[in-house]
Amino acid sequence: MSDDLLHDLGKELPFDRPDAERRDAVRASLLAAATRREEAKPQRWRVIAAFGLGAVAAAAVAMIYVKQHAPVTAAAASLEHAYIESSAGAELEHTVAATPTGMSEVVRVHAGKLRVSLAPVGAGDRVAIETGNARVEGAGAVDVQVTDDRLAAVTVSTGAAKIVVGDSKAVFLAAGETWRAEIVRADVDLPKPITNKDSPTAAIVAPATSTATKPTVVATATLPPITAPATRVPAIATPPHPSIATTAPRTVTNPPRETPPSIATTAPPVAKPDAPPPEPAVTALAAPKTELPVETEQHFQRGWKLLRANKPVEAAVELGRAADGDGPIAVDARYFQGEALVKAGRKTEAEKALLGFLDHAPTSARRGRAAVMLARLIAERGDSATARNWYQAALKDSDANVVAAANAGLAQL
Amino acid sequence: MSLKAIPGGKVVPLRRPEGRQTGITDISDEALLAACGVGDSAALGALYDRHHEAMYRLISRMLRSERTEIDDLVQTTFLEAWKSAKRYSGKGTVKSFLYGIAANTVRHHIRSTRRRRDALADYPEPIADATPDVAASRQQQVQRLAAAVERLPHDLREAYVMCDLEDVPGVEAARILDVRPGTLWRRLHDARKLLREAIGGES
Repeated sequence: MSDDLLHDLGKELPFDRPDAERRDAVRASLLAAATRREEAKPQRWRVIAAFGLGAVAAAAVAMIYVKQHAPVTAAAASLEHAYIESSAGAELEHTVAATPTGMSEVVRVHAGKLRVSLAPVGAGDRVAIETGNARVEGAGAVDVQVTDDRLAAVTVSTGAAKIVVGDSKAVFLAAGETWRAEIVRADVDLPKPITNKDSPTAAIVAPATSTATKPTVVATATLPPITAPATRVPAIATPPHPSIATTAPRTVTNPPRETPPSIATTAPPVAKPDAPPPEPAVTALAAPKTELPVETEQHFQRGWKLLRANKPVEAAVELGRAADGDGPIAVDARYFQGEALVKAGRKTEAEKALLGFLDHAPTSARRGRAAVMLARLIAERGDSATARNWYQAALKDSDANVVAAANAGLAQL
Repeated sequence: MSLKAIPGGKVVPLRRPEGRQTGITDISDEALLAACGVGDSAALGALYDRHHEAMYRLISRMLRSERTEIDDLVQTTFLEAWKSAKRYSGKGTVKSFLYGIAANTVRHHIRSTRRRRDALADYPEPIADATPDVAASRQQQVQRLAAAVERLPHDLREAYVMCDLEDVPGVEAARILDVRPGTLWRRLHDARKLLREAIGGES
């Protein structure tokens, strides 16, 4: 047999030809991995900066080298493309239109969560993310959350973004900054001081279906309608007040504090007959499935182990990555990230993480603990009034230790 | 103006309409790779779009494996290219650069798992079909060749796949595989000899 025949036969050998779905899946995974590497760069740069002028000179040489060898390269490629990585449940449309000044690309998002890699565009061109009430423009890696056609949150990982909500003034975000819509912030609005006369505890824990079993409390309490946004009060998922518990014992208890947190800890309280109705906006935010649930869980597990191994700094990094995902694990990760940051002494970041957790976990069993930790941090920086509110919110927790800690905190104010 | 719905759960490139002066098709492989070197993930996506088929072909011929494993190796190849884009010296084409990374990725994969060779040894011999039809006969030859390629030692196999199946010039293939040209020619000769014997020899 000649080499030519062997060559011809070889050309007929079967090989793996991916279908469009496989190809796109690998592509998405590849770009996600590459983006994660890019996001990790700022931390490395801090280390590199320690090498001083030598590294700067090397970078300059590298840039000159790239420019010499690829004159039409990065800029040309950047100017033409942006990428959008959306969650599974995202609803969005892409519009491309020619304008007198250039090209206008608009991604209209109705719901869901997406990560957009926006390269700088040329003069006259425009790439924007639009929702029913807002517009986001910028360059870099930006996470956008949209609920019910309204912009809920924007986080800038790299680059910068400009947000315009309705007719209000533009908000500019730099890398590492997050913007949240008021509708989400409403979840953490603090209650008025609790009085014996109108205990918010009764209001929170008394759904319409349970009135028959506790007529006394419900009949006299100044309850909001069931449809009223439960987010206006801190929706701490706690068992009812002891006096109520005697007539309507709960069937769901808090998990042990030292067990690894699981999805169940933040699952909506569907099995709780006396739990408050879930808050719609926040639930919708947590609903989209994560792009890489396994990774989220792996980050979470690593972070949790590091936290238990008394390595809070490393734990905070891992938990932060897990918190970037979606779903209940990400919500739990925010709590533990807050705990890790507290242990690491990074109080400002801890405060943000805990607030983020309280934003996203209206029914979590860990709200009480988070509220106490947050109250302590706030008290340390001298804001007694806000700290008091959070301590009072924690008083409704089912865990006696949390209540005791809250009382102790109140006494110290 | 064009309007289209974007499916959720995917990375979707936001492309400009056709007719632009500097569309992605006008950007050379070298430019895309350089853009990767400065962190432009869009360029990586474009590079993947352009070369993923060749990488699938190469890797799946070098390694008999599950589809998911092939997917992983292709992804690893492009991710390595993304990481090492700055090291691209301009010698050889970008496709050769990617071939080199793919070959290394497969080699490392085989080393790390080891079980691959055993698995290849278990590859069933294709059952010969007695149909005298010419087309069927050629099909038999292809089947026998496929089985024989599976049984080749990896170094011979990568030389054969690279030179005969992917048509990479010998000198470039030697550089990709990091061997001397003479070594590559010897491996290619040995591979062809073994394959000829396996598929029926001197007919």
